[in-house]
Amino acid sequence: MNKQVVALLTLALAPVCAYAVDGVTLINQSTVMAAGGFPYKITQPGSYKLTGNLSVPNFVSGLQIAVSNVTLDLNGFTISGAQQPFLPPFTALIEAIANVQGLAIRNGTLLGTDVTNLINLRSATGSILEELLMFDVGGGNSSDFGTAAVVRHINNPSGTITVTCPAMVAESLAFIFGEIKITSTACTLSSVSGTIL
Amino acid sequence: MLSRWISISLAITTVCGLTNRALADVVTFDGLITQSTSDGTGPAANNTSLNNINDGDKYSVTIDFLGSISSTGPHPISLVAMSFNDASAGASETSFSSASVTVSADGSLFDISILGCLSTGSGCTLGNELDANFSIPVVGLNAHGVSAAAIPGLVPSMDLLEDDGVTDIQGSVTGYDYVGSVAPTPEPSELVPVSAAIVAIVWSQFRRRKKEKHTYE
Repeated sequence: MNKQVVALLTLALAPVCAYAVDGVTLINQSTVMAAGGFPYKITQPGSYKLTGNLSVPNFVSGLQIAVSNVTLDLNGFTISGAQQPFLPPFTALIEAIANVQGLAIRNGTLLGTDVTNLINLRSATGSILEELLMFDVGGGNSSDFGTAAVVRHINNPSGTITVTCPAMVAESLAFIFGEIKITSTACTLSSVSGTIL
Repeated sequence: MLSRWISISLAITTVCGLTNRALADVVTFDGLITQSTSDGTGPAANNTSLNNINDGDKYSVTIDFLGSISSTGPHPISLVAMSFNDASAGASETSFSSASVTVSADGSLFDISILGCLSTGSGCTLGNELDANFSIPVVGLNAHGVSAAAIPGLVPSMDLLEDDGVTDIQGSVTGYDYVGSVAPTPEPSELVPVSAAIVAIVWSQFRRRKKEKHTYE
């Protein structure tokens, strides 16, 4: 009888325990600094969400993604940089640092100071990027969304966005869209505004 | 004879227990609440006193830790106690299990970044933490009554997340205070062995005198 009660209680409480942890790792300036500062390296697949703005210092990257299957929700917050230049050491506010797949980055603002690499996913395949505002204070900015990316609702009026075909870009604005064609498969750009190279 | 040795041993244990404690420093910062549960976050479940907090309340956070902070860099401190207090609301949070303070140079300022991890909920970075980011003058790092300011672009300056992120209390940071080398208040759990040792010493002395009294009689 007692065993039956314990079993029933276990079954009843199991869903509660499961719902208690939704597994979203929260990131903010304090958690980054407590983890040793920038770059903040994501080495486990899963869901990550900002709970505050991030301010990235000179010549270091902001968030480095080293593993596949990562969803990064900027949650309406801003990652701002100082000096993440196009030239070496080639840092960026968000970058993939391995040949990864299945990244999703959405819902926030990336703000560079001067000739800034905002997002560098050159080594990534099959990413989704959406609902992103991308700006720089001056000098322009650059981002590479890698191969086979699906991109929508990006607003980057003074910067360059590069994709490697195949890729789908829709309802987005950039100063320049750059297409890299390695195979015969073309990129699809639909309802975009900007110079296409 | 045996009881005398026991007495000596217990006395040494007691003295060591009381003197082997490192001195603690205390960091305090305060400000005004800018977001409370009345703004739609929460309601707080793990700590229902947080539901009494209102926008505009003055709050303070105190971090009591072993060692000291006197330079830039990360400081994964050894926490003695940490508390968030809103006196006007009768609200407090003391369930902090660890904390980290990072000091970064920022021109004539130091940027202070603090993370306090709560022992409640599903985990620190799963929305059970107190975050603070603010700047102070370089000369104020180990000083009293220092004015603190928000770091441009990093708001809120104070963010208390509870209930796996469901409850989100936010505030400004306007004041900072550092008190060095304060003898920490012993935890109740630390007082138990010390008290037991004192009782044992008194008891053994009492037994010895009683025995001596019987011998003379």
